[in-house]
Amino acid sequence: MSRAKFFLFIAFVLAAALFVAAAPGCSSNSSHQAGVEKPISVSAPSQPVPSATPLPKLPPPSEAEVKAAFHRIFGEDLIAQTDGGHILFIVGDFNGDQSEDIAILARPATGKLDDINSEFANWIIQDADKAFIPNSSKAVVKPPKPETPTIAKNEEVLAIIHGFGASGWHNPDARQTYLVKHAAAPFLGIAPSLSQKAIRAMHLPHETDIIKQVRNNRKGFLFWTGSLYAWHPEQG
Amino acid sequence: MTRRKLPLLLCITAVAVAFAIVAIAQTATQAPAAFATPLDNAGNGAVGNGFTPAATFVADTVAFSNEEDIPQGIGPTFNARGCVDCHMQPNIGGTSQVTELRVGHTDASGNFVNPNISINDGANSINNRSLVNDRSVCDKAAERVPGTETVIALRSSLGVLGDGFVEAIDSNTLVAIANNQPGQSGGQIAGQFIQVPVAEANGAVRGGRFGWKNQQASLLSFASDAYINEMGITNRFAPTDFTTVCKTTADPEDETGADGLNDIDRFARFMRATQAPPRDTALAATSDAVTGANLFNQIGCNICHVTSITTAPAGTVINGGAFTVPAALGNKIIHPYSDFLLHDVGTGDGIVQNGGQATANKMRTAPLWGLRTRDRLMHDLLTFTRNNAILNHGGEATGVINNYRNLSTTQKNQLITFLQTL
Repeated sequence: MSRAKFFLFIAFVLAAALFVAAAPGCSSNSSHQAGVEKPISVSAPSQPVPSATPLPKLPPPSEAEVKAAFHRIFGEDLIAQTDGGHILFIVGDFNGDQSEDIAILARPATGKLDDINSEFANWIIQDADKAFIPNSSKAVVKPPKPETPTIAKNEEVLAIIHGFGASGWHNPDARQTYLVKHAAAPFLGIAPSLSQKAIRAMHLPHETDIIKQVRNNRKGFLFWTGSLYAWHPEQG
Repeated sequence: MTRRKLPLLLCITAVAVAFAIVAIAQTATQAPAAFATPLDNAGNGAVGNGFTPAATFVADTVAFSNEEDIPQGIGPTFNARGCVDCHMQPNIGGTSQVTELRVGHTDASGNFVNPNISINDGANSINNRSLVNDRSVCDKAAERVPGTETVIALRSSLGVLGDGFVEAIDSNTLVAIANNQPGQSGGQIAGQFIQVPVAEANGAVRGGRFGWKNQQASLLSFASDAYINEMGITNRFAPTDFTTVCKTTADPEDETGADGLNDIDRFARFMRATQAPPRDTALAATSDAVTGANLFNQIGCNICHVTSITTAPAGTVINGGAFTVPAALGNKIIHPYSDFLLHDVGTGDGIVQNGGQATANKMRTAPLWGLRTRDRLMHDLLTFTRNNAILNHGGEATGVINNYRNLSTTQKNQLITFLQTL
């Protein structure tokens, strides 16, 4: 074999060997990354979860703490409503996550409606009279037509700040907020959601605190459906 | 050049070409992406990702679109007559406005318990099943939610386009993503990886990745599960209906074709052969979308909505030994915008499936590919704007969403413009 032919032969053999090594699917060793998916030594967590332990109840808030939380969320966009100089608010675990929330009566500040109703506002505006609750007595559940509620000039709303962690709504990270239309009414107190027959019948996924109110001279309560706040008149 | 040096040069060139071939073969490439399964009963226009020949993909698209009836085994309880009924937006295999209903209750220890649902005026019941079918082949088989069930949830249908690539992700890749999340988020975010049985592998387990609770790990298992649960058609992995009330067919109802394949094999093959949902490239090229994409990553959305994942190399044996990743699906870069892990972002539905009680209030990170085709959002489809969907995230996502809240209106607009490119 001439020297030139020898070099060509070697080159051909090397190229062929590399090509075979690179071709995927040619053999079980077709790629040095392929093989069998390695087993993972974790098991599906099947252990029972103990009932959620309620976080320690927080002491009654001061007016200054409420003001600070309100300003942290709404800045100058909304004004907290007062009675005799005191902010109208109520606290409880309204969304059932074991972290204390706060609901404050409020209205839009002058000239701030565009900010409040902005598509990109940091709060969710919703109507307590139009919250959708799946009807468990019906087999076919049809969600409502989408709508985007807005806050009107001077309209009173209920501003609800969801708590986060042990310090609840005091926590600087607690910024999930709802502006609830048709829920700005005097507070009568809070109660466990399951104390209401109507709520028991709804079979909601969470046990919460409801806000008892008087709206248009009628007693009722505001409750968390799992995704929104809804108003329900008291029966009887 | 001397004649003596020519052989040496040829030798070096041949070796270099061979090395280049090796490098190309081992370099991950972008997965094909297109909405290429238009709604057409004959499968016209259907173009797959190369996993199957073109004619096979068209035939499988037709099978996926087929509407079943009672003689073919539909029911006795069911939600839809064909896969396409729930997987169609904007193409066959996509999403839809359809939700399914799941219910149950908790015991004294707070554990989720599946319901027993009475039918046929109390003469029969469907036991230990959280899914409540909305339809039945006769009035006697119709289900109703008992008053004892205090956990009720709506779940939207999920898209299956590109799911062949998702199946081809090595479970260890998902574990690695989960392990990185606490460090990326100051300890706030920790995705949960669960392993679930693979029906076609005699119960061998694998990392779950399909369904809102990651309750399935393979597309064949998923096809079998959907066929029995959503359409009431028994098959070789689910050979018994949930009730015999008004049942007129023999099990298993899944048809076997002349090629020896069942419908569930064709459905799995269809899903494996679909292209990934594509980006809106024109919108993605705008400066607002580019800035929005950067913001998406900067504020931490990408910790869970992972932007890129590479599938396992071709030749990797997955699904408990039941499937080998083919060249069409292996070593492909996909952009699902999901980590395929379970998280508690405050939107949990309380339902437990394959993951154990710890997953009751966790949901799989919704893949955002194809998001621009959706009008109703979140797992229950009860959120209608992009902004509200973002603000609905709490729990593990609180820090990231607070970063979003700190953006200016212009920046939020840019981020949502980016989302509209997905």
